[in-house]
Amino acid sequence: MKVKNGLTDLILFGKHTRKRNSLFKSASAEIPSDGAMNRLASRLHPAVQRLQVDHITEETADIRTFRLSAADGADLAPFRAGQYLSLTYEYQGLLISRPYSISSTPSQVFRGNYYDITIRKAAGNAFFSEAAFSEWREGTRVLSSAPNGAFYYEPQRDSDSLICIAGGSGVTPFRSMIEEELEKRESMKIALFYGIGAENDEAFGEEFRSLSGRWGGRFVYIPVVQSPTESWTGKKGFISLDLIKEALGVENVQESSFFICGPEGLHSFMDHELEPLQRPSKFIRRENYGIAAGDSNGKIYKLTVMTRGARRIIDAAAGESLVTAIERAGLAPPAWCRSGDCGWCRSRLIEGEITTDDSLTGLRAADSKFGWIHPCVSYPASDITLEVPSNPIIYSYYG
Amino acid sequence: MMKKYDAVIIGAGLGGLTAAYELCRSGKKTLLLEQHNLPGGFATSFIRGRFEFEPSLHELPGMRGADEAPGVIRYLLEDAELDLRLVTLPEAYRIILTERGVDARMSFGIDKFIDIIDTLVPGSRDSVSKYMKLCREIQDAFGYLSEKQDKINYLTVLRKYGDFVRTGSYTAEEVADALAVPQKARELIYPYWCYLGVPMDRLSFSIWGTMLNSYLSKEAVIPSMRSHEIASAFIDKIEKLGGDIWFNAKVEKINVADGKINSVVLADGEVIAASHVVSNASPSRVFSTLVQPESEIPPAACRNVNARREGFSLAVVYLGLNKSREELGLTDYSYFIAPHMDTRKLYDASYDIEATELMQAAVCLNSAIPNCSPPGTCILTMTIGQQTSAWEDVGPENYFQKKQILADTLIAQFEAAVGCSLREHIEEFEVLLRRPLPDTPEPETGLSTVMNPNPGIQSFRGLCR
Repeated sequence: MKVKNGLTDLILFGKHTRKRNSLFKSASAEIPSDGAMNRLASRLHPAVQRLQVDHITEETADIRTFRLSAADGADLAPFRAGQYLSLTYEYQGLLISRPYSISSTPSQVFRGNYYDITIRKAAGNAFFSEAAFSEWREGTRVLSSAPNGAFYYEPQRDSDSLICIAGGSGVTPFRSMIEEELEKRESMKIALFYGIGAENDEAFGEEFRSLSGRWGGRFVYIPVVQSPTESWTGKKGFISLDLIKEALGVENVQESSFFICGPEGLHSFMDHELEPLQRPSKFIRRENYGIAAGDSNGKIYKLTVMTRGARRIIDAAAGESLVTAIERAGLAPPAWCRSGDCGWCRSRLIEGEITTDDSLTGLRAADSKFGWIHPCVSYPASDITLEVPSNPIIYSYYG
Repeated sequence: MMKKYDAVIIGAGLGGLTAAYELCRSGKKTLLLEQHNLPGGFATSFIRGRFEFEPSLHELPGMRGADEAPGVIRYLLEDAELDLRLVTLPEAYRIILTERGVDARMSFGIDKFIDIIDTLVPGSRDSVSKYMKLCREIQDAFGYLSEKQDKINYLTVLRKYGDFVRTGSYTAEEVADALAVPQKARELIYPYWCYLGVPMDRLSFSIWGTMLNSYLSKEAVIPSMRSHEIASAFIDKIEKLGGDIWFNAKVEKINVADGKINSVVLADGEVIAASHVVSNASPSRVFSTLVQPESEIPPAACRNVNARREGFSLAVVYLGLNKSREELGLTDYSYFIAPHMDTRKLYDASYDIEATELMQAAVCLNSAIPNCSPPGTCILTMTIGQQTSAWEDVGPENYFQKKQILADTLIAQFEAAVGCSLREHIEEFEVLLRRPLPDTPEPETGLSTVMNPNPGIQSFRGLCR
């Protein structure tokens, strides 16, 4: 065949390599740059954020808000209202980490370069909260992951009428979501049901009441107290479907997206309550604060932890997740969400038996096939050998 | 005591995994380092709610068929005997050009492909057959060249692959003109251009021809458990061969002295002695940040990087839908949807992230793997190619919003073209950007022969959520 004519086609091909080589030769010999996309990516997903406590607010007797700013002057990573940070801190000689929802709004990152984290003492994360309450002062340094998690309002998916249900410290992501989403879209309506044990457990009560005033009918705030004093005039007991319907009207309830955040007990209770609504599952979003412990039969197993060829043998109690056992032994495993979602603790089970709730493991299909597990939702049922990747945050912490 | 290896491989993308496998197999003491906690690079998967999404792979071409010569990928996977279940794709693609009134289903197999075009564009059989035969010759020629490497006999090339030589310096458009392929037929043949990201009037015909042939001559497959299954199977294999693999092991430095590599340093301070490093990280990363000291970076290496332009970066919208594909009317696996097939116009639009005149490549995974999501649900992903520079001015403040705009455009385009309704069925939603390879095929035909002749399996750097 010919494209132009036989000879030209051949001559051009002959020149081809020379042309190519001359393009290479005439290019700049300067050290290449790594690209704008990479800069944006590292702002959005830093491997680690070095934070320091700027300010502490006492919300109730046992709930405190810690304002965390960049200890190294870096621009903090933006997030979506409802996401969490995994914080790392050394306490009593152990490097421990726990996930905490960000309780400030995304716009506060751009305006003031800080995150608020609200911690309840001795809730699910007893040891970590003890550390925060007893040691954190202005200037205390902590390390943080990038913002994580998928518990946020998504306009492509969710109704623009949100019913938020918080149990105890599960209220913290909603403090972030409410202001952010009401401001961003005019059609947004939000109701917050906040389940607490007693009146004096109510964090951000003033703030929510003032928001409710400011946003008129677009934000409804309903604290529900389990065992109130006699002077309490608000809702009592648990956040039942009847209570929600009574407060919002039946039609509103049927068209809303539910966002539920709190301990596992709240989720099983709400599953049962919301069942009669027959809402498609896309309209029910959950954030689980604390997975129930495994079968605590008092047994202690031998756990062999392998990292980069090094081997450590530690104890692992039957009722405790493998991540907790490894952390307790001072080996600081990688772990962010601690509820099977994020996959950061992904490790290879070389030998032994575990128990795990299949609905919670968050495992990729091929990970199950090739013997990988998420130790944060896995409990030992025999002696175990586990290959655990090293945790990059250890080096960042100790330098 | 410093650990010592014959070879260190940076990055467990498919390139790094393949290199590690080959080195282990040949008895070298090998360490594969991966900065993330997962292998595969873009050959991975991610989970949202009850859905496990395939991030990138649309098809592994050149896998099955009666053809005597196995495709490169098939050769590699069969050779490695990976523990992998591959699923054959039902058809090549459905192409919908909304402004041109085109809606056609294209098959794998060159003969069937030509038959379909001839039915839709009467009188095109002769030119299209010649065109496809030429594409076959191009791929065979590349096969010869890569087999012989430095022992190439140029007379043999000229004798056996004369048309490869004669078309070698032209663009894909020039060759289609020379064979008088009707414009209407080109519309049906061209959609794979978006995988290369260079418009047909600039794309080297050699690159295009070998790609088209490799995609169409044999059937294509995908792994049954997303690309993470390929990566995991490689990891399993490498470990069985005695290779070491470290996750969460980001390389920060490659130490070079007197032109020789002596060690790599990880971000966590660990130093590993090695005389050879294979980098699956891009050359721009290697020379911009890794090689130390700077004086050891050969100017020729910098020129080699700087002479290339970045290819398309890809933006992908992922939908986990709460209805089955039958209920939604998603009859096909692979959809190419565009207003028209003027690749120059589509390319120009790729500089604008808010453009609506764009071409998307959509995949309904359940059409190939019915049980890839729970009963009564399905997974649909929509991909477009964009210039990296289009995202340069997007800051973190408007990043989420820009992705929403993009998703709105793609969902609306798909709904209108296919005549289905997706929006109210979105149960899980995500938009990811795939950062580009700086060495995807060059816009200039003069540089294009550096491309891997089998482009279906590529590794990309990092998901960007």
